[in-house]
Amino acid sequence: MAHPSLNWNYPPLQTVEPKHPAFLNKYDMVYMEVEARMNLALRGSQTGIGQISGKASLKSEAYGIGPVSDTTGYILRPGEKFGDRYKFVSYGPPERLGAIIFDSSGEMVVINPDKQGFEEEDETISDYKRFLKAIFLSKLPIKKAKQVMNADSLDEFIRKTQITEFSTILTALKQ
Amino acid sequence: MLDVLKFTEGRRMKHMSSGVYFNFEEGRKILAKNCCDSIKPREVDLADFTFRNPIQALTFAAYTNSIIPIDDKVGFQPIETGGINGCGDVPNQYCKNMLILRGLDRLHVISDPRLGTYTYSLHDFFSEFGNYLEEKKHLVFTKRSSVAKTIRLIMESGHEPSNFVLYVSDGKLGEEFYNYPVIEHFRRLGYFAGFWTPRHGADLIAVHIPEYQRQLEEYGFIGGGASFFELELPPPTNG
Repeated sequence: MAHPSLNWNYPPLQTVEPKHPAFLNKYDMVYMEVEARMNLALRGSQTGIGQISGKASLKSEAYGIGPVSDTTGYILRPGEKFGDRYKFVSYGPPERLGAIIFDSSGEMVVINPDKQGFEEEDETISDYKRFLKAIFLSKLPIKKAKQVMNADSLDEFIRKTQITEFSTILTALKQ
Repeated sequence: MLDVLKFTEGRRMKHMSSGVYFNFEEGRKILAKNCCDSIKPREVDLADFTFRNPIQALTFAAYTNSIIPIDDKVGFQPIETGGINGCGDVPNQYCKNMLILRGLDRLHVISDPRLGTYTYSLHDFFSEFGNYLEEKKHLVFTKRSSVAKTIRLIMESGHEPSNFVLYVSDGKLGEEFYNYPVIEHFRRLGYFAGFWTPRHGADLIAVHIPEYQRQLEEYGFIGGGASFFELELPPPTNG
């Protein structure tokens, strides 16, 4: 029985002209495929990892590695056919397709995307800032954490996690 | 191109399950070439690599679904019967308690497979097993069918099994293997990297937030980038 996420009515693979210089130098063909369900192909390939999916701002970046979009891409080395041994599978719309590749000698190649960016990129970084605060806040004994947050209720605690300076938490941890 | 378009369900499934994949040797090359500043090869005869420090070992295990054989000091009573399939004559304490680090802030301890998996927080684990971070750790690639034999060899050579991380596979490198060198790559670039994704559902995420990275460095929590798992570990002692 086929895996439930497989849908054999997915659109056919399309060839995309590789625009990025890194692609032009190394690959003669880039296959793109709509539908993230082809994540299964990545899992089946046992070879791939990589995607550079967004740049959050001039200062911060978020790289998604794996099926972060609804488009799947395959990069083949010159002369290789899909279905041959391929060393790499990546995901992302053509203009954002980036990759980390390992070849059979263990060499790692990083290919940066032509374009970067998410519509919700700033929210992504905000999420991670809260996430990092939460990690370090959780290292504090609860009494000390409440003291740092000056919070009595859970609601207040969570809200203040978002507004408390990261350095305040780190200072309390070092004391 | 025609080959691609002609793919049928059967052919694709066959390709996915029986293609030519990277094997252990190629995985060793990848670690040696891309992580050589953190793990050294063959410091112990039966190991493939020796980690520079235990945190590296835990990080590797966390992102590759590796197994660490641990003893029965993890905070629950060992089960009297059963054990991991194929344990053979490996002493019970090691086949009953296999530590699998997976994802974020959780340790899975698999005991008798009929009884399922126990989950511990990192805090609980280190409360019970605090000396784990003090010992040097080694990495061994092993096939699924050879886990028991590998643990036995470790013990016969006079080593403590809990100081080994077992990358377990059927000889091919799974997608999870690539998590580690990719995380290592981003760590060196000063990124925070790991599994946790707030909204995109990626397999891995690497985030660069210079402001936070600088503060963590100033306070001595990290040197450069870090995996999320590494950040979850107990804080360094003061002074």
